[in-house]
Amino acid sequence: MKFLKNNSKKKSLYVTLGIIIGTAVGIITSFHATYDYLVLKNKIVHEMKNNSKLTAESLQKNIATLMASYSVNEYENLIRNEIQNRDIFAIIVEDYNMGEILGETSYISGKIRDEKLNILDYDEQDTLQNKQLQETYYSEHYDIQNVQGKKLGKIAIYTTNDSINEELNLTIIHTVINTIIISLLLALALFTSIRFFILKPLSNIVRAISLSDENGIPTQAIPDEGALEISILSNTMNTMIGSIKNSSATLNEHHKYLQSIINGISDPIMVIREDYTVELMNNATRKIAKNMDMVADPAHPKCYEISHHRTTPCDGVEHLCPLKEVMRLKKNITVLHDHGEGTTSHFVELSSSPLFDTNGVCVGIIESARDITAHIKAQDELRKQKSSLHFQASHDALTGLANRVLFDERLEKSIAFSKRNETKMALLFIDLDHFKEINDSLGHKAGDKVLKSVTLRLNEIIRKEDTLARLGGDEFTIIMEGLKDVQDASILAQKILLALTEPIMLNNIEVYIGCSIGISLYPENGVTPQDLLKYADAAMYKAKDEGRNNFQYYSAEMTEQAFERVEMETKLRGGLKNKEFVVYYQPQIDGTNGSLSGMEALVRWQSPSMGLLSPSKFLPIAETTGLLIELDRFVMKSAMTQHAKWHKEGLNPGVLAMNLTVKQLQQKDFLPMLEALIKETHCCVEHIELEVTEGQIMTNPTKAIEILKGISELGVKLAVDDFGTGYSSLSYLKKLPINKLKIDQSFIHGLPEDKKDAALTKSIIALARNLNLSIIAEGVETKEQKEFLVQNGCTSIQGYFYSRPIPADEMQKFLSQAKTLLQSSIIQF
Amino acid sequence: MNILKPLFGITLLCFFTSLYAAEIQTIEKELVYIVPDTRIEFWEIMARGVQNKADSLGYALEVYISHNDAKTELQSVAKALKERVAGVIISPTTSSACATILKLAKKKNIPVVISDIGSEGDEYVSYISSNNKEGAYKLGKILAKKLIELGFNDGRVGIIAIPQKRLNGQARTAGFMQAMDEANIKGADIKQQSTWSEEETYTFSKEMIEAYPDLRAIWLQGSDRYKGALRAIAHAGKKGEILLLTFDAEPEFLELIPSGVVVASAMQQPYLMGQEAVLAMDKHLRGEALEKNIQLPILAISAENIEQMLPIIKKNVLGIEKIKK
Repeated sequence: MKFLKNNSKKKSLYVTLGIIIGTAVGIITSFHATYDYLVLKNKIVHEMKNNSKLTAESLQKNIATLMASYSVNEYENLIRNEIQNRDIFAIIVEDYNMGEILGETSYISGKIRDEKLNILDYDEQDTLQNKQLQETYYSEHYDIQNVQGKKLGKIAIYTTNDSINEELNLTIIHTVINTIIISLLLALALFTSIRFFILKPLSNIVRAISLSDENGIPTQAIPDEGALEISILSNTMNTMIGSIKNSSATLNEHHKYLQSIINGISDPIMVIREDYTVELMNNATRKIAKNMDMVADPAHPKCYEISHHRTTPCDGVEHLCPLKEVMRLKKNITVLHDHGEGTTSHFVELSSSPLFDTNGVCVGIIESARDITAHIKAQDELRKQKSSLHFQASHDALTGLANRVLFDERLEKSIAFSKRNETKMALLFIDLDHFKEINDSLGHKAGDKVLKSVTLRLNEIIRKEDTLARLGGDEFTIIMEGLKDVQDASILAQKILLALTEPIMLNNIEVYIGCSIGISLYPENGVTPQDLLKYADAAMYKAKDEGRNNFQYYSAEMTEQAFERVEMETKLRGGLKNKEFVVYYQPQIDGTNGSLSGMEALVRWQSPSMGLLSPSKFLPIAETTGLLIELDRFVMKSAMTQHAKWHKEGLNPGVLAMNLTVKQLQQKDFLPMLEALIKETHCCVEHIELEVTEGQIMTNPTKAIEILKGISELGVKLAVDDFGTGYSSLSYLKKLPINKLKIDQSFIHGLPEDKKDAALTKSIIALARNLNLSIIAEGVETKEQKEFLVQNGCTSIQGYFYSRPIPADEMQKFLSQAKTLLQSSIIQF
Repeated sequence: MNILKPLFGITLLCFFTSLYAAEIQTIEKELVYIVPDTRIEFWEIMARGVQNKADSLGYALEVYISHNDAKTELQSVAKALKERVAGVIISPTTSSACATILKLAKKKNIPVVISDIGSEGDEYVSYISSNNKEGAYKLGKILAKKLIELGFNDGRVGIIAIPQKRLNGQARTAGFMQAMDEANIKGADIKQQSTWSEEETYTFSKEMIEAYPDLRAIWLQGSDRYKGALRAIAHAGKKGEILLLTFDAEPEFLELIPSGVVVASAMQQPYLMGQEAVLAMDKHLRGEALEKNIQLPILAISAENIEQMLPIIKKNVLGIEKIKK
């Protein structure tokens, strides 16, 4: 039990329980006693009343008889006996019979007790007795009647509460005594039980707990003794102690682990108390502290000694003191200190967080220091890069021009400027012609060089106040602000066209590139950036449609054309899907004898809504939308299938000439596809001739030569279409594995009168003959043209003179008739 | 002329005062005697004794007869109290009734002297009684002697008693039985009178004779219905075999006792009792000391001493100055 005693001011369990138990017992027994008292009192009162009633019942009949016989003394004796036997205070009788005899209302007699409880005769004149009667506790009056019901008198029974009080007092005394005895016994039993069952085991538990190690963890097991609850407590405490020990061991391990981690951190970490004392530090900090000889007390170094080599706290002038700031703000802060000397900076970032004790009071800080000198430098670099990135974000990386983002911004500003100053503004939309071919044939690097070159040239042309932007691909825009005359836009457009006509040298290769320019005007064509751009774009397409290498101003109909273009594209796709395209054939005739030497396959579009459309209507769109390849292959398959069929039918259709775009030729699977198609259609390779335009060959002649060789090796003949229009180099011409030259119709049109056309035609014929190439002229429409050509050595004729392009069924008829009518001079259809 | 008026006034004053004084004196001199029933010789003789002494002492006396009825008795008392008599002498119907009467009288401050019967209360001036027990004892002794003399002492003795709730009845029975016990004479039965008729006495006697073949004596605690007992004895053919004793006396006992018809009788002295009662009241009214309880001896008269006691018997027992026929 001594272990339960200490100097604490707390009350002992004994005292507390004693107070509680004693109070409880006292209250309970008091209530019980009170209850018993009340019950008893009620019982006694009830008995008293019952007693009175019984007395009355007992007396009424007898007294009535005695009254009737005038036996006053008899009933007085009866009354006396009743009082004596029933513990009644007084019984007073009013005798009417006697009263009548005595000449009074009634004769009042009775018995009453005095203070000594002696039974005396009642004297009506006795004031004291009357007062006593008035002061009785209870009284009851009854009539006395004879058997006939005649009232003979009255009887009053008086009862005092003396006996009640006496009995109740006795009861109280007994109850008090019982209560005291019970309380004492109960208290004794409880205290004894508490001592034996609770305090002693608790004392043993406390003793076991008090035997603890340096961490306060008990070294011995808590004894398991006593009642169930104490036993559970002991076992629970043992379990808890076990858990604590395990936790402590784990904590120690964890502490060591954390310490090793903290020590592993290269940044100095300190726990600094409010008096600047460094309470905890990691190895990194120790290294710093170890090397300083200004630390007055190595066991309790100050933070300013370690960090700033000072002997006094920092004054906060050069830099904020983290300790002071955190103590003031009670929140995390980060401050930057320069621990460098002279011109050399040594930036240290101090991250400090408040250290709170268990009461929530800030008692210091946890500070980690990091040398961020390199970081600062890196930030500077980053800033620079950011500026660069920002530039890159708004400028085209290749050309350095404003990109779409910056262009949109500049356009808005220009519109706002023009609106504000009520000036005109022009937007030029420049799209390079045939740039895709250059990109595809020469590669993207070559394309980039072209773009850069174009950029240089455009920059040289535009005004300082103009904005040149590259929207992407081969599209450039120029914003011309403050136009005095809208024709200034035309002038600039013309200059651009002229500037781009000069070839661009790419690794000793001359590349010719033109452009198509669309111009929209503010405010005539639109007042929003979107409208101006849209209309300039539409105008550019118009320029494309007009043959490229020109500029067009926007007009309202261009919008319609733009819509039509979109519509056409949709229909084109649908047409391919719905097989609306058909192959027409134009005969190629030997002009000397009129025999069929072959035919050219030409695609037509039998549109349900637009009717029969020539290639000029849909090929440009097919090319821009990427549908050209699919269309080309459809034509090749249809034509080769049909041609093979005619050969099989013995109609001798000659050589099938098919047009091929460079795009088709550049497909990686073209040769395998061609081979497969030849097999599939059973068309003889000797009967196949592919026509490639001069212009397409010259976009990338080297690549073209390579592909054409592959085709030639299959046995397919090759012809150069539109010869004379493609700026071809004669050196490439001799390298090309071609079999035929096709004179462009532009040279035929003026024959035979146009001397230039005649000369050029003759030259081409001679060239072909000298290169041992076949020659054919297209676009022959007149006899004179045909005669000229034949006379000059070009015997293969294609044109309206002999036939326009006709569908397969008509060509079938033509072939059938050719057998018998081949000798005729002219077959007109 | 002026002096006559005052003189006349004074004279009138004196006159009325004297009348008042006379009346007071007259009132103070009035007594009331309440007696149970003068048909009974005993009470009649007592009443004459009261009257005799009252007359001799100069008291006016009213005698109220209760007729053995409590109500009548109370009415008599009430009347007496209302008249504010000087004193009440009462022979109560019962000692119980007397207690009430004493209370009533006390309230009115009227003294009461009790003559015979007795009272359960004690608010009386004096109680004149006969030594019933001693008298009965003496009587019993005479009977015992007689029974022994006749050889009847093996027999039994029956008692026809006055109500035993009366103290005098109790005393009589107690004294008589004491004598019987001392003589080892067995008792037969005791029957209490209620109707006080001769027929009742006859019936009681006959019943006892029939019930107890060895009945040798019948003792009447009264005297006036002795003839009933005699008839019963005669009708039972036990004349001479069953002795008859009485209590109190009748005038003819002067002959019956010597002749042996009545063996003996314990004679109260009612005349003397009456006189003594008045004397006691007189003493009280005059403020003299007197005894609370005055017991007068009862004369045990048999053939042996009747001659000797005759004068006293005539005077005190029979009130020979006025003998009822």
